[in-house]
Amino acid sequence: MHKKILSFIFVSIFIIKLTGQDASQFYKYKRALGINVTNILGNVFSLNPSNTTSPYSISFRKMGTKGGLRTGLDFLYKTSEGSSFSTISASNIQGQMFASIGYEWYLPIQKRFLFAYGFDVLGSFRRDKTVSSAVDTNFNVITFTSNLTGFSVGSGPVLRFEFKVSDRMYLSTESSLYVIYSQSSRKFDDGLISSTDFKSKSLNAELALPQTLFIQIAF
Amino acid sequence: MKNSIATLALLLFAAVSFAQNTSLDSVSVYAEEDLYEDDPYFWSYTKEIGLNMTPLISKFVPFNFVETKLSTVGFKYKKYFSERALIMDLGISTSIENLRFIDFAFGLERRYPISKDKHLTYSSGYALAFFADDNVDIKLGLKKSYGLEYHFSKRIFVGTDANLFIGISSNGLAIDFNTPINIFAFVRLY
Repeated sequence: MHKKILSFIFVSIFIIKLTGQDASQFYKYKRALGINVTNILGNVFSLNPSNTTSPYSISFRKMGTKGGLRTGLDFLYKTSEGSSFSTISASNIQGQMFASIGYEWYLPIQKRFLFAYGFDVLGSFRRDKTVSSAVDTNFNVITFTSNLTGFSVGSGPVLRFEFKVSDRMYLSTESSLYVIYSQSSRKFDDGLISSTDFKSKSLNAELALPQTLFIQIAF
Repeated sequence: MKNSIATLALLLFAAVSFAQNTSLDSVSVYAEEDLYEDDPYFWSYTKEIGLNMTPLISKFVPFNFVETKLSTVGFKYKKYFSERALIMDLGISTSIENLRFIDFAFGLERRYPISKDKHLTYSSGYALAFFADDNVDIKLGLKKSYGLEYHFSKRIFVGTDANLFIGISSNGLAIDFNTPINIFAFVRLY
């Protein structure tokens, strides 16, 4: 069934004629680098402390006359080591990467407001490895290893509002309806019993409301 | 069944997002709205796309430490004719294993100016509404809605709405009065 949904999405994106309107008055420069600043502003000005969920933190756009290329990128690499009463030691390595690429069409609303619609194709990869050691009742050291590997791919339409602060600076927020297929597997190994595999697959569709603010610098 | 509904909703969202008037491609958008001065209202024969901006707005309100309540509708589309509009509301969050919610409504609306300069308006409409969530609660019925809008300009406005839903659900008769809790930002397309 999920294949049918994905097929419908792709077909609906490509069979409908896509047009934009001349945005050459709106964009003076042809490239823009964007940074998600929602949490920065929230922390600095003591605004609502809720965390912001956004698939990416950095964006790059290449603007054309009626439309342009849009990309998003997010990267995380984190290591930690520690010990507690129940474990002798524990170490964790997390790696995560998200990338998206798409195209959008511009509809200038006013001299300082632009509305854009388009679609993204996206993918992400995740790796999480935890090694922990503990002592059992016979004072033997047991080492547990947990390995999580996952990836996801998806696509969907995007709507974006943009406010032009100046020729060099823009503020934007967006809403998306991504259909995302995810797959992950987790392996446990305690060194004594053979490792166990847990695999999971999922297909999600969610209308994401605008909740992040990007500052875009044009150049 | 749930997947078919999700597919239908996704297709409608995609179609509405991408449907555009191609005949005005070559006309500068800054001059387009002046072509419609003879219409009864400046919103006549236009399309309006609205997004639920409450999550973003709430982040920039100081000392707002309560969790923001959100309606399940995230996207609104209105196609105005001379005085009345076809409207569509959509909200969706689902996976193959777990339907979190689908909220869909399709109906008619009419907008009335409140102030002489037409910056402030209210709207009144009827819609057929369908709602399903992960509690296996399915509702189907008629929604009478009232909206209040403030038009910053001919192209950008914000609005909120309340509605009274009367219909049937998996538990029998359902009557819900939903007060305004969300702010939508709209753009008007010609």
